[in-house]
Parts: sequence; structure tokens; C-alpha cells
Amino acid sequence: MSHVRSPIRQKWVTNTDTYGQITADIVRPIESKMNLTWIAVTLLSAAVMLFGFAMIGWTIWEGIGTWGLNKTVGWAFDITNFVFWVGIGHAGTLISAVLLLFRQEWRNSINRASEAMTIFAVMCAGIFPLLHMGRVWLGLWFFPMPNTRGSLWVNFNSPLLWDVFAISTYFSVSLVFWYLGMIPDFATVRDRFAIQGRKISSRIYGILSFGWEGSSRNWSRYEVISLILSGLATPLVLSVHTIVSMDFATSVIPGWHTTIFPPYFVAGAIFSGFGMVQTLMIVTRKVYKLENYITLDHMESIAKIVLATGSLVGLAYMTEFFTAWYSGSLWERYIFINRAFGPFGWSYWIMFSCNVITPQLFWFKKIRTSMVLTFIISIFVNIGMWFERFVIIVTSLHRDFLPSSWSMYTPTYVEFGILIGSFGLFFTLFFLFAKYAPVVNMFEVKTLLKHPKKPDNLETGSEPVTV
Amino acid sequence: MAHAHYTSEQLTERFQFLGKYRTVIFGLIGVGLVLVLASWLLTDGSEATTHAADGHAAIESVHSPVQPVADTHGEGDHGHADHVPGVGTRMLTGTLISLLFFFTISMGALFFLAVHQVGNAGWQTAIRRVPEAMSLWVPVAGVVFLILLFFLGDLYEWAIIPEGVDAIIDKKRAWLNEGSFWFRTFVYFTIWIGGALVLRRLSVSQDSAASVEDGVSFFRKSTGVAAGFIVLFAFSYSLFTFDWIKSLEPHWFSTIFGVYVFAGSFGSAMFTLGLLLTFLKRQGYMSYVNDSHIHDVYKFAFGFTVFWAYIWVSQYLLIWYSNIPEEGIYYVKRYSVGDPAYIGGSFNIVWIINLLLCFLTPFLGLMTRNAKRMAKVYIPISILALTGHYIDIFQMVQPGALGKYWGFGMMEIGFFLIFAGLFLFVVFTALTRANLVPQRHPYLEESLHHTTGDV
Amino acid sequence: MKRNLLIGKYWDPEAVLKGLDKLTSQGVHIFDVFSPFPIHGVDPYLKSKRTRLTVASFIYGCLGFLTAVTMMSLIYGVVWPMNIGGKPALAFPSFVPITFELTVLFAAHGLVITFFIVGNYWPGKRARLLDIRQTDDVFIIAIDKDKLSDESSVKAVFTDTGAYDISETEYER
Repeated sequence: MSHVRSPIRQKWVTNTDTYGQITADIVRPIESKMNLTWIAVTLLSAAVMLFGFAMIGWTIWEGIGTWGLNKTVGWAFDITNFVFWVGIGHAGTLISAVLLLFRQEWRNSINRASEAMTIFAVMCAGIFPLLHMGRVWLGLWFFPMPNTRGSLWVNFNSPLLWDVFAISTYFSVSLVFWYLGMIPDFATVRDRFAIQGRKISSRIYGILSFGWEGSSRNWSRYEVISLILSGLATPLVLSVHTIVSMDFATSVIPGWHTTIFPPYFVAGAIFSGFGMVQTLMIVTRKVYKLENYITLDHMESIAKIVLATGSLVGLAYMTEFFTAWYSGSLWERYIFINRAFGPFGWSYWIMFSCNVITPQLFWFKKIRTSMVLTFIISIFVNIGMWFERFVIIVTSLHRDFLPSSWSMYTPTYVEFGILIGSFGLFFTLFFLFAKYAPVVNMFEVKTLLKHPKKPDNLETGSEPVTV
Repeated sequence: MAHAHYTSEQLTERFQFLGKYRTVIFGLIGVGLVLVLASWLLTDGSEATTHAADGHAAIESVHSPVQPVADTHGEGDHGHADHVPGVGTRMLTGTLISLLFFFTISMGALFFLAVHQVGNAGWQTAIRRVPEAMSLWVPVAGVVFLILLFFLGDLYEWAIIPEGVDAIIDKKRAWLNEGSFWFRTFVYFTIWIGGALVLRRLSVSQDSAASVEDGVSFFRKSTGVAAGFIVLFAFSYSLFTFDWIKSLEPHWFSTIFGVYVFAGSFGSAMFTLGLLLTFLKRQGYMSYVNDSHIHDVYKFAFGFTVFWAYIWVSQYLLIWYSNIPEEGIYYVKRYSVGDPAYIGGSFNIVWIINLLLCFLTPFLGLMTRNAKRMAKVYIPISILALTGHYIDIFQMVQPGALGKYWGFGMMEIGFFLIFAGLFLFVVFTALTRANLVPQRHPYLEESLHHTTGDV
Repeated sequence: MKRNLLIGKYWDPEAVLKGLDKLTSQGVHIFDVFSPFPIHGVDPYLKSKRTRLTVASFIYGCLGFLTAVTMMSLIYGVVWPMNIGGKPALAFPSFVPITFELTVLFAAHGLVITFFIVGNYWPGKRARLLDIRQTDDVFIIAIDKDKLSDESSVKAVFTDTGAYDISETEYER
């Protein structure tokens, strides 16, 4: 970092000249009374979530025969949803960890919400493999424990088991990273409530803030561990989608087994995650009036990452297609032709146009700075990335090696219900977060404010307090 | 414009291509030539013919009737593995390895410039003339590749095996034929030489802008060029590696191959950059380059060491796990101990040393903060890692081009020295052509005050 | 330990750095600085030792690495060798992902737990604040009065560098 800033650099905090204003703007939703819109949307998402839970209950009660799977297409909707949600999560870690290592200042105001998105997305993702086990109550068998089941150990050669380790490590480390980032901000909220005399609220946030005082000795350690955690989270986030990709790529199924899968899945995950970040941020900055902290420049930077990763994904599609031909292998060649022009061809073209063509619009500054268009494109990205997983999974399976086994796949209402329910869960959690935690990282945004104005409400002679 | 710590002499200094550097460089080239000539002359004359002349095609056709029917990918690598390759092939292989070694480094440097331009990175401004100079090796390498184009048949079996002999190669003829290979190579180099020269020209012309404010327009233009270049680079570099390296074993395929070569080339570009910066500082130049700049260069080197290992594992693990013969052959060739049917017993040593030098050494060596700042640590690590990168390219090229007649000796060392000399000559010449620090660059002040902080 | 502190409150972090610079040049020992966000450049004035958390994290990582390798080698090599897909029982490439994950898991959680223990943080701990706004927009330089020979010069520095409030207080830590 350099203490000199080039005049051509963007201002990441606009129209703000005191630290107090940053605090006030960001804490406002927590301090203010619940408003009706918030209650309405939260209840709505909760209702959707409950509908999903009902479908989950039905699945557990009746078994996964309620899904549209068959012998040929034994993996379909739920694994698609699993990979989709895990992918969404990746942007949060990328913003909080990778961009921190790259000293990107603009991450400071979007990292909190994106990390929250990560946590909630991974929670949604976790539902699907658990359900697909059929007997969820035996989930503990995932872990390598000494047992009396004839010494039945887990299969360390199975990418599905690698997933268990990867997802649980990823979830717990992201959670800790996210929480650690909130500790100083919870302290700020605690003290704001203390000033207003709202003792119970102050105490609740006090418990959450672990007694943070803002001593420089602690800040110094705090910054060190943030950097180390970023250094750990960066390869971690790569490993997670790498391992997810290996669920497919270690097999011998044409269309699944290709060596580019690990980096390609990671690029796709970041792409889809940033699509979701766009969707969420455009709404959040508008509703909470945070346009001074999440500026158009922020949205442009995000759009550029969407463009870059979208193009990378496009490169991977084309490499795959080319190599399928180049391999000279009958099956490889067939499966890719079938993917694009077979019975599920429509899903391929939805995927291709949403993921490769639509983001190319972000080459234009006009589109990057138009929030309406960005929002629309971000929805396309989300749809496209869901279809990407669907295409990979279903089109590769439905044409088996044995033509007599060829079949089609149609999802049932139960599968749709669970997918919709997972969105309900995601948004319920996100709304709760947006109400009860600072959606923007206050202390990191404050570091971006240079040359503050003297606050006009400074008090002298205030006594020390214990909160 | 006030530069807090540095005099205007320091900020307008130019590199002097002194006689002693020339002596060393010409020495390298001279010794290299002698080694190459010696090993050429010492080779038995009767073998000293190239493939095109030795009736290779006839040998092939005797061998292969089984192949087209069985459709077993890769198993019978008839091309170069089945007969003693001539010294000509050995020389061309040596050329290709050393050429690729320095070429991938210069492409890494070029990508470094483009991606930092697009990413609005301030810290690298003070050092960017060095990667710029490195990127100017791309046009020179292009000329050598052009020469190699005339000898495709001696390097690539698909170029000499006639139609109807090898069913798998026949399926790829639309891609693997000399005409389109020539065409593609010209396209790649048009893109890269164009990118390198335009970025360089914009950077140098910025020096003569009237003020920093006037320089911004050059800077903006560079950003646009760099953004477009990155897209073209991603496609072309990937295809280039498929063409020039992967097709040495034309039955084999791996989608990740381009990423693998890219990971190695960016990492080794950073190691080279670190060495060059240290050299320049020790010669009294670039006093404004501080420990933090070096630290950041080696952070990249460290990061790409890990990234290289990640891509390596991805490719290896997936191929090993699936155990599909047409893919697995690639590694079977490289590590089956004592199986002369493929490549001869001891190649696995090369393969293991490659892993140790490319991953383990820099990973453990550069882990701490101090290691990235202390020359006595990072210089040996860089040299080891670059050796590893050479071996990496060696193990990509030789098993395909020479098969079980692989070897490492005076020939390979000779070519390496020749190309090292040429590379340094180009880089040093490029450094003399402009100020060592870009003038009127909007991020120059930031870079001069760059610090990575206490962590 | 109870201490008597002399504190200067600022509203501008740049001024804090100036104050610290002047104070340390006069040989004053700085007890601590409190701020709503980390101010870059404060650490050298506090003369605190470089944290060894990086080393700790490395050790935890090694521990995770060993745990993973030992666990999998013992289970598949000794306790219950299994032939899966014709691979050897000890199929090390297959162990890479889990080994990596456990290394990161141990390194990250070990690091954070150590941080909480070293800094004495726990849920529900009460915070002792010199100013209720020190987590919002107030920056404080605190100096141990008992170690001070010349109070007035410190106060003068505080005033010169733009402290808006100077006071004395008892503090326990």
C-alpha cells in the first residue's frame, strides 16, 4: 500500500466527510424500527422456505422416489442445485480474501454482504447431498469414526467424501472469517445503543462483540490474522470447487471427465457468485440508501469481474468442445454434439447465451453503469449458471454407453419445490442479516475516508465507561 | 512534480549496456555454439540424418497395420519412438526446449504487463520497464519459431505420417496439418508481437508527454489495448500450447494443458523478473525499487508456484484416477520405472525432480515474509525454480519428440546457453532504449512510495 | 493492574500519527492507542513485538497435515486395507484433497482460537472504554502517567497536534 493516491483513482466513498456519518448511515437499519416492507418480504421468503421444508419432509418420508430420477439419469436436479449454491458462495470468499491480498480497496464496502451470501449459499447447498443420501439420519456415517458396523470406514478415494471435508472446512472457515470481521462493527453497534440508553440491545451486541475495545495492539494482531486467513481462504476456495468438479471429472463419463474441470468450475463459480453479488448489491444499496459506499464505480468493478470470468467460462466451453473433437474419441465427440444439438440442446443454448454472450455487454461503460441493465444481466447470469450444471450433469448422463439405456429426465414438483424452498431459505437468512448486522463493513470503509472533516458534536470531559 | 525522495537524475537514468555485459553474453553464446557443434560432430555420422530424409514414412507403414483397426489411443506411439532419431531431431528438440523456456517467460512478462494495466495496479509502475524489456523477446522468439516451422516433420510425427496409417491422427487432420499449423502460428505471433509492441510503444511515448495529466491519455489507451489483448491472449496461448507442445504426442489430449503451461510461464516470469531487478539494483540502477517491490514480485512467484502445483495436481489426479488408457499413456511414459517400451527407465527421475524444483523448493523457500525480501534466500530459490521450469518444459517435449532416445547432454546445455545469451542481449538492449522508470505515469508517485506494510 | 492514564482524544487519525511521532521523539512511552479502525503506521510507535501468530498458524497447519496423512494411512494401510477401483490401498493422490482440507482447517481455526485467547476475547466480556465513541469516530492516545516525568510537555504535544480533549483517568487491564 502506498500512502500516496493517484488523482486518477476513483473515490470509493463519496459525499461523506466524517467517520460518524459512515457509522450512522450503516447502522441506521439496525437502530430503526422494523418497517413493514421488511417484515413483508421476510415473511414471504419464510413462507417459501417453509414450502421447501414441506417438500423436504415429503422426500424424507416417502424417499427420493418422489424425484424424477431414473436408472440412467441417477443424478440430476439436486446435484445441479448443490453445485449452483456452492458456486454462488465463491464470490464472497473471493471478495473478502483474494481481493484483500490484491489490495483492492473497493472490496471494503461489499465484503460483508458477500461473505454473508457465501455462508447462506453454502447452507442451502448442504441440503441437497444430505437429501440425496435418502436416509439423512445416517449422515454421521460420512465421518471417519471407529465403529461397530464391521469396521466400515469411509472411502477416502471418493470425491464425494472429499466434498464432505471440503464443504465443512469451507463453511466453518468462512463463518469464522465473516464473524471475525463483524466483531469490531458489533462493538460499534453496542456503543451506539449504549449512547442511546438501549441497554438490552447494547448488551446483546456486547456479547457478540467479545469485548472489543479497539486497542492498537489488538488491531495489529487482527490485521495479521485477517491476512493469514485470506492466504488460507484463497487456496481453500479454489479447492472447494475443484473438489466439486472432481465429483464429475474423476469418472469415465464423456462430458464429465476432462482435465480442465477444476479451474473451469472455479471460474464458473466466481462468475455465478458475482452475478448474485450484483443482484443483491443493486437492491441493497438502493433500499438502504448506501449509494455513497457502494458506488457506481463499485458496481462497475464487479461488472468487469463478471465479464472476465464469463469470458473464461466461455474459453473453457470452447476448449472442451474443441478437445472433444480433437481427442478423436467416438464417445467424447458424440456427447458434445448431443449436448448442443440433442434433445436437451435448448438447455445448452440457454447456458451458452446467458454465460458467454450476455456478459459481453459489460464491455460497454453505459451498460456497466446502468443499474437496471446490470440487474437484468445479473439475473441472466444466475439462470445461465444454474443451467450450466444442469447441462453438464443431465446431458452427459441421459445418453448412456448402451443405447438401450438411453432416457430422458423430467423433474417433479417435489424437486422444484426444494429448489424454490432453498431460495426462500437463502433470502430469509439474508433479510435477517440485513436487519440485524451491519451490511457494510464500517471499520474498513472508514479506512478509505481520507482527510475527514472535524465532527461538530465532539464532547469534552466524557468519563470512561464499561459496556 | 515533486518526487519526495529521488533526484531527477535517478528518475531519468538509463541502463548502460557495458562492454563487460557484452563479453559475458557473447561468451554464453560462444560456449553454447561450441557445445552444440561439438556434440553434433561427436555424434556418429551415419545417424546424422533428419527424418524427412530417412524414409521415416516407410518405417511407419511397416509398423502400423494394427493401429487404425484397434483404435487404441496412444499405446503404440509409432512416430519417433520406434527408431533412432537423427542428430537433427535432437538439435531441433534442444532448440525447441530452450526457445520455449525463454519464450514462456517473456509471455508471462507480457501478461503481467497487460493484467496489471487492466487491474489499475500502482505498485508495479516503477519496475514495469523490466517486464516490458522481457516481453520484447516475443518478436525474436517468433523468428526462431518461424525457422522451426520448416522442420515440423522432424519434430512432430503427425507431420510425416501419411494418411491412412494412423486412424487417430487421421481424425485430427483438419487441425493437425502443416498448412493450418503455419497459419495459426502466424496468427498467434501477429497477436502477441502486436500486443507487445503496442503496449511498449504506448508506455515509451508516455515518457515524452508534457505532463502527468497529458500522460493519462496514453495510460487509458494502454488499458483498452491490454483488455483486448488479454482476451486474445487467453485463446491464442492455450491453442499455441496445444499446437506446439501437446501435438508432440498427437494421440494424447488434455483440456487443461494450456492453463498448465500458462501457470508455469507466469511463475517463471516472476522469478526472472526478481533476478533481473536484483541484478539491476546491484549494478547501481533503480535505487527507487525497494524491498516492498521485490516482496510483491515474489508474492506473485509464490502464488503461481502454488497455482502451478494446483494445475499439476488437477491434471495428474484426474488422469490417474480415471485410468483411461489414451490419457494415462502420458504419465505412464514419464514415470513407469524401467519400462523401455515407452521411454526408458530413468525418466521418472526427471519427472520427480520437476515436481521438487517447481513446487516444493519455492513453496517452502518463499513461505516467510523475510525470504521474499532477502536476496540470499530468493536468488538461490529463483535459480532452482527456473531450473525446475526448464525441466518442466524438457519433460513436456522430449518424451514426445525423442521417445526412448531422450537425453540430456552438451547439446541441450549448448542450446540453453545460446538462448540465454540471446535473451539477455534482447532484454539489455531493450532496457537501454528507454528510461528505467516510466515518466508521466499517473501511478508513478504511488509506486515510488510503495510499501507492503508491516505484514 | 490499575493504572493512571493521561489521555488525548483526537478526531483525525493523521493528527494521531503526528502526536505519536512527537511524543516518542521526546522519549515518552505510549501505553496504547484506541481507534475505530486500524491506523497504518501506529505499530512502530507502540514498540510491540512482532506477533508470532503466523508461526502458530504454520504449526497448526503442519498438525492438520500430519493428522490427515496419519489417519488415512492408518485406516487404509493398517486397519482396513481396501481395493477400490483397482487402486492400491494407499492411493496417495487420492489423499491430496483431504490432506489439504484438514491442513487449512487446523491452520485457520487454530489461528483464530489462539487470537481469541491471546487477546482475551470471549463472548460476553465487558469492554472498558475510555470514550464511548472510540469505536465510532474518536481516536485516543493513552499514556501511563506513573511512568511519566514531565506531564505538561505531553499535554502541550496533545494540544499542539490537535487533540480536542485531554483528561486523566484510572484504567484497569
